[in-house]
Amino acid sequence: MLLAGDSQGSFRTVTRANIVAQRQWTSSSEQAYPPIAVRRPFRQIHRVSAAAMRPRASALGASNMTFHLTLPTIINQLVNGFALGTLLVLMAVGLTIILGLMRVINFTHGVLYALGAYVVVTLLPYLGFWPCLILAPVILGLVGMAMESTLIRRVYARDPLHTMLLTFGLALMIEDVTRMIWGDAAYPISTPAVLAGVIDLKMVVFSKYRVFVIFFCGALLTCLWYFLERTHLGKTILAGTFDREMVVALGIPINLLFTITFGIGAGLAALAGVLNAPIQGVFPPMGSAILMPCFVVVIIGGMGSFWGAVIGGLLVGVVVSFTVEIFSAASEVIVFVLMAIVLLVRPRGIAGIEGLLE
Amino acid sequence: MNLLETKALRKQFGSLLAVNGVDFSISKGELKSIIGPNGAGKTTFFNLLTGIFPPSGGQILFKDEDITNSPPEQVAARGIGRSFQITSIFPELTVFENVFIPAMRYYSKAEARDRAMEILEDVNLGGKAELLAGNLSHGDKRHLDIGIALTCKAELLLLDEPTSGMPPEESARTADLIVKLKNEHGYTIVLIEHKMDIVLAISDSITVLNFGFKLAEGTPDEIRGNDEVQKAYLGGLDTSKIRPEAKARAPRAQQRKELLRLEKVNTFYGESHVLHDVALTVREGEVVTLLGRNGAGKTTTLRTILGLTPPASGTISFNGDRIETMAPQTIVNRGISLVPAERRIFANLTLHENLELPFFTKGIPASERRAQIDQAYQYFPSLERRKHNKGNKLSGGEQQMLAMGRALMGRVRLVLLDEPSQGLAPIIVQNVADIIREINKRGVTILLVEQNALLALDLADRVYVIDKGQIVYEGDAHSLLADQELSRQLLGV
Amino acid sequence: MRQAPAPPSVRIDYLKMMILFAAVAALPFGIPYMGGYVGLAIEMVIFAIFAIGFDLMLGYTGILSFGQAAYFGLAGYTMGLVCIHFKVPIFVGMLAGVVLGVLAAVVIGLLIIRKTGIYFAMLTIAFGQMFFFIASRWKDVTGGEDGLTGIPRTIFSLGPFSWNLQNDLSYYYFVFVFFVVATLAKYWLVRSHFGQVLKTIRENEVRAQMVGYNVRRYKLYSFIIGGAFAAVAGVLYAMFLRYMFPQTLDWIRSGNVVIMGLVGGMGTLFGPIVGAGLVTYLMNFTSYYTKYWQFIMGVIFVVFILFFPRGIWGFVERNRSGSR
Repeated sequence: MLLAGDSQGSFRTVTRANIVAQRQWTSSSEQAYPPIAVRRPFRQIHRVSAAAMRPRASALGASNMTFHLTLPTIINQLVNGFALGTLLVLMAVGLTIILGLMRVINFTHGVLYALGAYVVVTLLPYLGFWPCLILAPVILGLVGMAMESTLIRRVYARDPLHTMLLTFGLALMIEDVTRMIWGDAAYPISTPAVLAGVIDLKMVVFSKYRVFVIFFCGALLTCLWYFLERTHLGKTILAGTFDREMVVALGIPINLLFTITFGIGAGLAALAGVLNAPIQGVFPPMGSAILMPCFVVVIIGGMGSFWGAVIGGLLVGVVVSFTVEIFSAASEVIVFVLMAIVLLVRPRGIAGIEGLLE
Repeated sequence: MNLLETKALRKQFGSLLAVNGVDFSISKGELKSIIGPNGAGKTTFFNLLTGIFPPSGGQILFKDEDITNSPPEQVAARGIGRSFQITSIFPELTVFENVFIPAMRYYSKAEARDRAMEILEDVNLGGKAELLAGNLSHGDKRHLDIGIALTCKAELLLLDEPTSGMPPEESARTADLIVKLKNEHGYTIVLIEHKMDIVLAISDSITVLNFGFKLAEGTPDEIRGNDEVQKAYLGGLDTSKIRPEAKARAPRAQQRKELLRLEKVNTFYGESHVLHDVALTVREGEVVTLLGRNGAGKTTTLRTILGLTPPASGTISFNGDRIETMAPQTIVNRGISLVPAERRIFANLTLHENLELPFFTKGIPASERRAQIDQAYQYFPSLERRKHNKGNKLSGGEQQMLAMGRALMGRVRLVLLDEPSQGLAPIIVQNVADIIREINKRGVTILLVEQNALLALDLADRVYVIDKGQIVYEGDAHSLLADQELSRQLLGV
Repeated sequence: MRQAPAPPSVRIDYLKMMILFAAVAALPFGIPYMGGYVGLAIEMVIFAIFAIGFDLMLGYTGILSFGQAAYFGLAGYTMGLVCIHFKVPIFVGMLAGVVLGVLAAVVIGLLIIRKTGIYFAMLTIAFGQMFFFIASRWKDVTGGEDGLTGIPRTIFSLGPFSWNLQNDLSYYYFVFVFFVVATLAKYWLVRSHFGQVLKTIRENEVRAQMVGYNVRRYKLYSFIIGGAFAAVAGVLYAMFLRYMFPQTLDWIRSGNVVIMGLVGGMGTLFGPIVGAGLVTYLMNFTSYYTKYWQFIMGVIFVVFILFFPRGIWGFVERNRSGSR
């Protein structure tokens, strides 16, 4: 889980002391891809996991088991947690809407996120950050729509497991395509100049970019909510989640609806990738690394539920970021413990829809 | 001694009471049928007996033991076998394995082999033991479904519409099979069935359910003579209550243009042959009613027209164009819309949003949309007050009105109305009827499907009666009404 | 009364299995001609054991677990840790690994077996990934990202019986014994009453329950058995590499097993074995020529899903026996 894994570095409490180190990490070559360790007998094992991408904890002096939950720490961790959480929500909302409407678990969600970040890598020198923030989601939204309408659509009529496995195969392919095009190395992306630096409130210090991410994602999720609840297309998607056949009986072209929904999900994933690029840099396995936390958010929130994904994402974000402060080694595992607890208490997740996928 | 007994059995889904305090009993060796209009709670009743749903109240006794909250596998192990309304077999296993593997739950391997062959002989599948179950004909699959139900050392058999989707000769064969199971093998049988001739011919006694209540119980003759039952089926068919203008109404529209025409339409669900050479015509501006008992193929006819269940053969033309191969969205955009019997309101949207939904791609200007929605609120004034309520907060009557309003959105020429009276109180039914008449007056053609003959005949210009997937009567409403014997035969019990 | 159909001939199946065993036994001598070496053969056979267990779940019970690598890796790590820290005989370490792998399957199975279809699949991925993170982050115990080194592969001794495993060829035949046992165990399981019930669950869960089988319990057993096969394979893999690393528990590894099953053909006797052998071989082969082997695996997978969802063996069997 990359976001959490990274938390030792960049989602860690931003104290004055380590801001410098952190800025260096995000913008310097410190994040170079570690050499492929040839210590295993066969080459096919040479996948370097996301976790391997993480700078050594000791390098940043992060694994301090002592913790002080002072007010500034709490506020800081809340900011970090929300920044992580809103990004997860952005991803999970797309996943969960696709799940609710099309009954598809989309494994390509992670690679679409990665591709979004790679668009930044390629276009940043020419266009700068802000145009990328708009272009990447549009481009990958179209890619997602193309994928849905040419490949995934062919297996809807079969067992839902087939759709899931198909997207898994596509995800494997696309991840290697990113390696072919952009190579194995990690690209650091510098924070746009306006947002570089920190907000210093004397008592606490925030990274400007994090705060921006929170507000930007918050605004975007509000727009998305508005889209789903207030626009015609959005309401049609919600209606389709509830009763697909009746939507067909009202003369609505369901295939078009599927393609659009898939495109929206892909665009949101790409956008999350763009937003996260300055925080963590860009590297091939970033997609498969973020997929798991997104799945967990969807499960915790309840399959197919918008608000479930929002609550689940923020919950995961905050829990992870506090765990990082308290016991950083457990920051990834805690998410699954949280999931197990939620499932024991509420088998359908926080806001799961009765009967969906059961 | 009663083999099975239920006391005040109740099941509630949300606000719907699907089974409402049913006392039911069957004694050993008896064949008892359960009949009732759609939505009467028959299959739910079976689901309660077999432990698929826990009941909301009441008690189930089998051989005087309480099995009220037993899970399905324990109910089966006690000796209650069940067949399913939608064929439920193991398609990728051989016919033999389909009964052999279940039988192994109760017998040693060697005994199970013999028992399995015995069962297959009983259900006339002895010669097909080695075929793959999924490759059987529809009728054979239905029999195999019964065969699987027999494996659990069953004493009591619950058969859910064993003849569904079968042509008449095959239904008769199945009826013979059921009688054989009772007489020669001593099974006690509870039968849910829509085909009245079969029910009346083979049942020892009949229980009638309506709205989850037990309406009546008795021998076939008693049930046939029971006015309450006839009323439930015919919607209180009573010629004296028909408004005078319905009788007097001249057959209008004979010379009008044909709007919809079905010819030799055959429709299947999987291998289940539901519509047999259905032919009907609807002219511009008419109200045409398609009557029939439940399970006769009425809803399927509507689904076929709309392209939700495309026909296997035959032609459907609308306004002169062939539409049988078109996608539902194209058909709908040509001006046909559906009001489904279950309403199917989107519970997660508000009433107003439900009304707006059909405009998705119809390219209708905003002013016209608004006018149409206002028009709908004029037809159904009670809806406007509840505009911003979510769909799941509406009453049954409001849902019906909303479903009708929703079907009028867009440039609709033909509305397919599926059982608008289902589950509604009589006073609301009357209200709905008035609105249908009003809508029709404004130029919308209506194809109405009903079990409630009173409502339907009151409204209709012309009537078709469908039975077992075939059109068996065609004519104007008052000729059918005039012939009480005929209408009872076609529609009653 | 007509005769019950004769049960399928056991003799032909045993004959087929004998041929298979002979072929697998000869593999280390054939593989150099295919550009491989004994190590590759070992790996192919270990993954065959893994895939056989997976097939019991997806091919015979119809439940898709996408987190099988967790039990595979957990067992391997446990075996290594027990052997390294307690200096116990290899046999004890192997036993400990398998027991812990199975226990994990029991606990997780109990928690999620109520769910079905893709919901179940998603939960298995998520819980599987939990073990991945434990392995990669509990550095003091597992060695974290560096992996766990020093797993012994010395002399296997049990009572009077002992087997020197240090040589690869010798280890190959050690693994081969497990493969034979696994293949036979699956064959017997599938033919047993238990296996027959699993098939009815795959075909029609509601109906299987309606004839009196406790479906949930059977599914749980199937999940545990699948976990046990994975655990055995994991233990053998740890000894083979003398090394364990977190990626053995990753969901991509779980996905590889799904690919093996699918390419070979689920629900058949030899499908998963063929699939595991072929996929392992191909991964190795392609990774020799290109580092983008994962792309090629993805393509193969997509092609099989779209055009041959029954896999190689399923395709062969179906075509040979006509309508069946």
